[in-house]
Amino acid sequence: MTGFPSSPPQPQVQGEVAALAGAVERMAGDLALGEEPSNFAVALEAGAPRD
Amino acid sequence: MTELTLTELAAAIAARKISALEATDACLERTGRLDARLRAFITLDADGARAHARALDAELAAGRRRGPLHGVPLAYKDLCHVAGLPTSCGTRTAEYFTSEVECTAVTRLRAAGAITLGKLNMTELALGPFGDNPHHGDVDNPWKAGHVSGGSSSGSGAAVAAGLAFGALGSDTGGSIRLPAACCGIVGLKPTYGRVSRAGAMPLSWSLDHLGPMTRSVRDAALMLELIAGHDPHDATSSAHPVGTPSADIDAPVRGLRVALPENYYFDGVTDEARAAVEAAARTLASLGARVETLRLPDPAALIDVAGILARSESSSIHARIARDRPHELGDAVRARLEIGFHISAHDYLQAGRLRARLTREFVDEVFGQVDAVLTPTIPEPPPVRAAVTAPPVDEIVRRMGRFSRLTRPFNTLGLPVLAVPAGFTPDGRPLGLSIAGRPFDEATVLRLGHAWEQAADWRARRPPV
Repeated sequence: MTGFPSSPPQPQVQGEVAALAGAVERMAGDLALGEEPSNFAVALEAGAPRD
Repeated sequence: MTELTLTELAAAIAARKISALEATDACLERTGRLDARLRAFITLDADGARAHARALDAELAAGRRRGPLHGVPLAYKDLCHVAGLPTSCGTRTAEYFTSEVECTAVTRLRAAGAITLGKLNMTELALGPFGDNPHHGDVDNPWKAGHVSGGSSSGSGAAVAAGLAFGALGSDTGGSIRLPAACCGIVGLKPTYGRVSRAGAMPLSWSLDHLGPMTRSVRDAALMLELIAGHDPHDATSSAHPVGTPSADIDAPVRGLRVALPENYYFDGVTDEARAAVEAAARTLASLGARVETLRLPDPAALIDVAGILARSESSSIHARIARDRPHELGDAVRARLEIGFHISAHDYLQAGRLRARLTREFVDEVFGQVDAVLTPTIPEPPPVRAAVTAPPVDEIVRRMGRFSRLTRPFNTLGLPVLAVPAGFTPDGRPLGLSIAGRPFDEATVLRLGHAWEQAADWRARRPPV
């Protein structure tokens, strides 16, 4: 068996990584400066029903 | 006795009509008879369960009831750490996965009086939706031998469906509660992200992991949720949002609730029978007074891409040691999926996290400004033949995995509560699945809708032919 993870990555792995990176890059172009990952939790709390 | 729901059994034990030991023995007898085929358990703790049952019976006789699950036998996906029992995470090597911390959800269920029957089979490292496992055997579908049981909480699905346990815990990173619930014809709830502590359970992806109940009725799921939900200092992502009383609110009418059927994505490539089952559920809810409409949902493909980056990066980080030290002990498909994460850049990972926040805010504002819940199929087809979907080559298996879980994964990115509930059966007896997604922390509404649908359905007393 070859080492794991393979270095350099196999072409198929390279292809999948590039596809994911490309998709994210296309969507991330207009992200606001203040947008950070922890805003996810804020979005959930803000979207909860008002009692 | 094993045909009772969890809440029915709990009431019968409380009324001293059934003892905890009788209920435990019934599960163990059934497991002894059926599990050679189903392969739902990895570890069965018959002696421990019987001893605990005797103690609980004695306590009840002395007038002490620990809680709503006093004497009810449950079992847990084998990535939940349980004191005194090994945890394999579906791998060959249980000794590799050790924890000083018991799974908080298990501790809470035990405090409510539940008995631990044992630890349930799962897809290796929780990576895969078909219920196959090269080390512990493939979990079979109780409704149709040789068919997919769903994954990765495959043992949880099969055990609950077949009456080997009255309820179970599963975990869900891309559909792993909902897919086996749908394939095995039971109820599974992926709660809101942060609603249920993940402490003491093997992580696969911190950002996307959820623990939740798998049961035979929606009422059972509501009760289990009530017991396991709530803030836990051992999990930094757990929310302090009030849990409420979803099991008490479940009988409220659904009249006036606004329910959407998606116009895009969620019915693309779905078989006619899977689509018809969801549409029938929508008609039933409409007949009960819900307002059903169609709605175009924000782009699910973006949610899946974001999930792909987060899940692969985090799982390869979490499992870097086993992947590097013992790659030969992992199955080919698991190794292939872990490998990708080693090559994703920090930049892309962070951008995905930022995008997730924006996409979630947009989805919640846009969709839940118009409706209270969204109905989708859980699985795009009835459970397929296991040998067909797990046949090599590896890259084709990985593609099939992606197709089978494509309806569930967007909701892990969004962190929204989703109830998977049976939606009927094909003419040859395979279950079909309905998913009901709701606002963040609004499990009460999805449970209410699921319960209304379940009560109206004519198949709810149906049990697998095992």
